[in-house]
Amino acid sequence: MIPEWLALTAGAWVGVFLTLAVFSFLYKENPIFRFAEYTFVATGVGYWIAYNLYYCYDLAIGVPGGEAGILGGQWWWIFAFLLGIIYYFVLTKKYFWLYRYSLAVIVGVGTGLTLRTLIQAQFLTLVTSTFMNLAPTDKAGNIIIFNPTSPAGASLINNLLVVVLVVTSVIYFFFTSETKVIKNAGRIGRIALMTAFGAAYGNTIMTRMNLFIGRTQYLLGIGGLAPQDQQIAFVVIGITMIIVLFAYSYLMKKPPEEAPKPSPPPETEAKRPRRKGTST
Amino acid sequence: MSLSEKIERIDRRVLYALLWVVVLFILLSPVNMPVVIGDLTKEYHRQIEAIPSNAIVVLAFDLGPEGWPELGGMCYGSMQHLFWKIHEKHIKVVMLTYWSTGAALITNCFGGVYGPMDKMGAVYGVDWVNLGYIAAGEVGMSAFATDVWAAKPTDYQGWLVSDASKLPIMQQVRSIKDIYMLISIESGTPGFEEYNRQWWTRKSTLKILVGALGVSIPGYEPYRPARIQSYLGGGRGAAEYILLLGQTDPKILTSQPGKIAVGVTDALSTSHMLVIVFVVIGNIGYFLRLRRKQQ
Repeated sequence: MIPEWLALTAGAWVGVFLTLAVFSFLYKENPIFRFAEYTFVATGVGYWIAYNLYYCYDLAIGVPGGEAGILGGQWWWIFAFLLGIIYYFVLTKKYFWLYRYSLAVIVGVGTGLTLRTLIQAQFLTLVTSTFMNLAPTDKAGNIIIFNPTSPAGASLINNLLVVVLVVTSVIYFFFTSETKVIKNAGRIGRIALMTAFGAAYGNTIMTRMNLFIGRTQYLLGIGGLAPQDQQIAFVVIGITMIIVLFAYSYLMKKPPEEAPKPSPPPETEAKRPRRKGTST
Repeated sequence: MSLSEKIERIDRRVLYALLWVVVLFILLSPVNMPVVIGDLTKEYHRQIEAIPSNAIVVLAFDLGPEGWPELGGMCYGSMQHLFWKIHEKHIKVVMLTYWSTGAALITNCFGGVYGPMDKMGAVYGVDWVNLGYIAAGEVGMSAFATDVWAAKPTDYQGWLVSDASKLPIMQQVRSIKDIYMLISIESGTPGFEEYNRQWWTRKSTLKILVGALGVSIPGYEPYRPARIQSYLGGGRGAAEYILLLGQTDPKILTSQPGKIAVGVTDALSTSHMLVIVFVVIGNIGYFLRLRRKQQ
């Protein structure tokens, strides 16, 4: 049994090393980054396979005394196993076609389940959520023109904005006729779309920054399991990695290429036989 | 080389280094910028407070470790909040995940790895249960909605869900009809859209709360409030929620996810300011070059 302090210390050093190894890509592509990348992919795949096998075992083979799985008398799971096994024929050339049966079942079930509810759950909801009340009232029955205490809440200005921007955004994709009204409405729609893309971009930046800050917090020992070890490892591994990266960069620097020597002009130029009927 | 060209050709590594310096500096010496708690966070909190007695709530951790810096505060906060409600209102909580990577996060969270989780005397198997990982994404959700026992015959430690002596709570959880609320903290697919298609269509009165990455938030807005009662958006949402819970019990602020969530706000604000400065400088360079070309 590994003592807890050793597991925590080792975990901190490995965690800091892998974090800095991935960050080293910001400097340039290098073997340390590739090592971290392959380790991550391999570990992730292994973890995923183990968890899914465990789930399959519980569900399809079953637990003694349980009602589920083959042990629970549900013999039809044999077909699921068969479909699962023939999926591996994707790796052979000769029996590749067998794998298509598994794939067909997966795609068929997935598509069927999704299409069954797609219209009701998503399409109609998105349409109806644009049907806004243009006279929202407060408890006293007064129309709310704008509510500064809840700027994103229901108000005449907000609801009107939703209606106008949805309609103009749809008009932007209307290509059949080009009248002045449609053109101007489309222009407003384009601004609305650009604003939405800008907001989405801002949120994307926020997520990426959050990931970056999260890892930096870990390196600084804020919120880790072994904060002191993380801090020491950050300094030691960080400095070592910087030295290694600069040394690697220096060693991999290509020597300046020599200018190619001018080759002597060919004495005779080979003539290709011309095909009949081709123009000169 | 003119100034505009110099600006436009700044080595990206200089920008990365600047970002590192700013983030390291602000994390080491936080300025504690004020965090205003938004309406959505208040509504998220209010919805959990308003769960009726004996209702069954599903808490889903549909995320992996990569989403933890942003969503960890929401996961930890929501779990702690639900334990308080178990104590106050005897609600029942079912924890699960459709992400294999989420299973360990659940056990770490209630196991106290990320900080003390005050279970308020809640009994495992009676007041709450952790079903662990359920495979097959949307297909798994559909199976769970129609027959819980068939979709997940055991809990995370291999106990049979049909065993009333060990997991009496599961006698009340047979299909989606029994569930009052879903709290999904998620960082991708499967997530809300799949729950919406497979769970909501089978029970239209199902209350849904979502905790999501900032990048996913614009996609959820059209579903509120018809489908999603409220959501927490990104690191900012997590910080607001932790601060709100901290008003009830300040201990939550000292937990690992609590510290991460609240500590991130300063760094987020300053790094965004830096990005804005980069964008402005880049645009100045672009317009200077454009002007020179025109001349």
